[in-house]
Amino acid sequence: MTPAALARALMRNRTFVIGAVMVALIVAAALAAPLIAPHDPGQMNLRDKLQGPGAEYLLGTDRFGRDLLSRVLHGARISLAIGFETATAAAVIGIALGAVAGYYGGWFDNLVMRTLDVPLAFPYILLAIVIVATLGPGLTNAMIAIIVVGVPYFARIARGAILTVREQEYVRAAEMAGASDARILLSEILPNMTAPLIVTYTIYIGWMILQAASLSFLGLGAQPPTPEWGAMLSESRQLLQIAPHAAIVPGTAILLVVLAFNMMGDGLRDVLDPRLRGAVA
Amino acid sequence: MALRLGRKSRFFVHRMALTVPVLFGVSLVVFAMLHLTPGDPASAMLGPRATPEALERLRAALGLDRPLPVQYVTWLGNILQGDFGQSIQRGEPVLPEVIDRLGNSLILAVAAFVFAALGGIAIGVAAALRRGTALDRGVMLLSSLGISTPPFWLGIVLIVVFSIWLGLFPSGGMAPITATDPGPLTLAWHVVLPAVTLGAAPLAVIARMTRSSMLEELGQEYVVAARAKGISARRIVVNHALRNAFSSILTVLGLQIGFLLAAGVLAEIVFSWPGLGSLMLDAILTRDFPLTQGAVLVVAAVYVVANAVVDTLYAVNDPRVRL
Amino acid sequence: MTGSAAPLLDIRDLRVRFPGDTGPVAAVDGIDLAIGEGETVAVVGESGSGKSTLGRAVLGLVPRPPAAIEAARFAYKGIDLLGLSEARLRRIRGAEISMIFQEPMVSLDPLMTVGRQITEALEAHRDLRGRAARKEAIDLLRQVGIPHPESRIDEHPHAFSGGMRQRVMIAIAIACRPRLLIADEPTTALDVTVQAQILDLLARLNDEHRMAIVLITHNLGIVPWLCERTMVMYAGRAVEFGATRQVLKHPAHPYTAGLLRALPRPDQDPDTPLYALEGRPPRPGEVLPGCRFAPRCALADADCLAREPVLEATAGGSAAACLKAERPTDAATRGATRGAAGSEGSEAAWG
Repeated sequence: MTPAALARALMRNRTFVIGAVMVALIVAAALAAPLIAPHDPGQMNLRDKLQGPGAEYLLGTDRFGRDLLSRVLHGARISLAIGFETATAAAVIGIALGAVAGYYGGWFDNLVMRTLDVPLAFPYILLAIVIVATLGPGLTNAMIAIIVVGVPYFARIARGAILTVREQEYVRAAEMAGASDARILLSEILPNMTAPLIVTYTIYIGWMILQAASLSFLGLGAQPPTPEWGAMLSESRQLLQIAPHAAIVPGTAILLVVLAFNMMGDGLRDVLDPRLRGAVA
Repeated sequence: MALRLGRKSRFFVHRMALTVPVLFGVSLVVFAMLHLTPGDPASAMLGPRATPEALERLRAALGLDRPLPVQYVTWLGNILQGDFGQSIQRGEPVLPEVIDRLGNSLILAVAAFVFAALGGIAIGVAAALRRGTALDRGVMLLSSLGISTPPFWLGIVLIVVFSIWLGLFPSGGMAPITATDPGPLTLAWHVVLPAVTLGAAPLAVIARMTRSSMLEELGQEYVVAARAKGISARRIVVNHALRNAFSSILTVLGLQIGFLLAAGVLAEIVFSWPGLGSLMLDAILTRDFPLTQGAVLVVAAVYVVANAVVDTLYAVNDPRVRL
Repeated sequence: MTGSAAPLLDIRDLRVRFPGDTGPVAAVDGIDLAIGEGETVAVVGESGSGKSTLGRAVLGLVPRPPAAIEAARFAYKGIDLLGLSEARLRRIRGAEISMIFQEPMVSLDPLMTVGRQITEALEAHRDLRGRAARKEAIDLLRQVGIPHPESRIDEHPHAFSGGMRQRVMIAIAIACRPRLLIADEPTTALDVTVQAQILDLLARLNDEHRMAIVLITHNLGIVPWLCERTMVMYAGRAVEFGATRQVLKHPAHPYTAGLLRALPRPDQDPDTPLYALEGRPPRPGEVLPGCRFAPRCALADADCLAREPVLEATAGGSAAACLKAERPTDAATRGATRGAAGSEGSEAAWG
């Protein structure tokens, strides 16, 4: 598909367009947070604590009188940074491991892939919890944990793509022309696995944000008073009775970000590679 | 072999045997967890002000001064005999506490599973039968939302709406299964919101899978042939198409078990449900290593065994799979 | 011959249209077909000729919408099939009219024992249940020539060979003693010896139960095994219709002649390549001026492109829709036309 045709196909995909617009708005809001946030996100003002949404505080305040809108906007910076950084790290490490394993095959392939099977033996967020339990609670350790959890998925995709592309004519031709392994990997094989990787990467950004927020909610990730959404939610949980908005606002922010990346990824998948439907969680 | 087993039982035994190396690997990870940790159990138990001599004595008493492989074999041997050690915080044996909490977690997980499976299959079938209608599009949109919804957020919304505003359900806690006054209904009443919270994402996944595999099956030639027999539409949908779609649905149902066990932690925290997940979290936050290890090991074991059961069900469901 | 009684199936000017990119596409475009008790008719054509759609339309298996069906008459035993509710149609399907399909591999539910697939039909139409239904199912399997029916009844379809599966399909189809069986390419997926066995079985069932059969096939070669009359379809229309013997011996339409030449003959040198009809049938929705076959026809001239021929009696005895066909000159004309297009012709016309 030419870039122009690809762009047209994407613009016709409603799921992608809605998701991409939401992502763009969220990213813009995060970048502009210091400019558009009406208050200092850390500024406590006990006189105004636990106010509902109103004119002064659009989304209300938390139990220390901090402005929830400002905290959510600044939280977007944190959550998006977590999402991009961890998804990128997991993708780079995973692709490198998977590509090298798939390209060279043999015992090395076996060793790498069997090792990467171990994390998959733990369900969902449990492995991340175990890793944090080992390293100790904190945002950095939580990020390390979710990177480790994400690596095997990228490795599998990269390896699968390599195994299908490897035997094809143009790779053979490049080999015979005497191109180096690294050159073949980068110039011939990598471009051919971009479709599944872009789809997975997009969905994983949202997924990583959700995992990090979950860990923070459990008290294992970002710690108060950081305006990380999961931590904000955890702080406000005891006050549901009197100030439900203080918990619902950051929770909704998480939902919208995850939904935006999921929709964007789903749309990309439909356009780039319909065969992948259902292959990526 | 003296014992004659049926094909299905033999498959199950074989599949269970395959879980042994996996469980072995899990035990290694859990053991390594303890020894990669900054500081060791002795310093965690005695606190920061302990004297070096006291630490030394406790290390010797716990066997922490011996080589790692020896420690691992000893530890694994004890576990195989049911001795998971003592909780540092509570000073009580780990296993009975873990088993007790596991029961509570399973109640929640099973309730969530039933909700997700029945709801997801019903919704998926309805969407497939009315493909392209507003109902179908609505279901697909809701399932996108369901998959993206953080369980803890949904739990909080449910508490605010159904507990605080409407006062229909309790906002947390759990009535013991043995409660007599007013009986098991109390338990059911307490489990509704947590189960819906935990089951929402699996329900969305199951509904999607059911829809797509039903659409595939309804397009198959045997469905046309079944219609040509003149049997009722309900029979064709349920006894033929759904029965065949069930192979793919079963795979997805199996995949939800892991989610229910692990994401159960989140639902348990939101609803103060006294399950294994909240016990594990307590243990982690208080650096209670034996308790953490025991809880993780049991969850992983339940997960691995549940997967083996699902694989067996899968093989039993489809006569074409060689047992 | 039924004589004065109404025919079992009476179809006049049937049109089945599907929505296409550029408006409705007629898969069946004006077909007449009347079948009496115990009669056997072959509907022959290439894939895409509309023959399968015709068969499915009779059982109400063409989904409406998207399809639209119109007919001057579309009746089974005098009942208008187009006006029937789904529930009433269901009582005819499998009970009065049955169908067997091309691919026995995919036409049986892979997860249900063959016995259950038979008893399902028995429950629906004959109210036979439990042991009685099982006994009847075993009996049906025996009738269609499946060895050891008592044990095979509990097996799943994957345990049967292709030919045996088609026998199971036939057992299901005849379970409720239908008066009409529509066999849609019943032997195409099977090898030659098995083909002959299945056709023999169908001929026997026709003989023993006086069950009328519509054999839908692309293979003119198998037609004489079973069918008294033959209709050749091309691009949704009947191009030739008559007694099988006459159609095969004296094809009046160049398309029929082409199909016949394309058949392998036993005395043929295996090294000479088979004759193949040149060109391709019109694409769905493609509208051609005049005769639809003209672009592939060696006899076609300007006349053929100017007007569309209709089925008319020919000198050979069958009816053909071809301007170049030799027309009969004597008084036999009337009889031959009616005998071919309707069902009330004289015995001699297709004896």
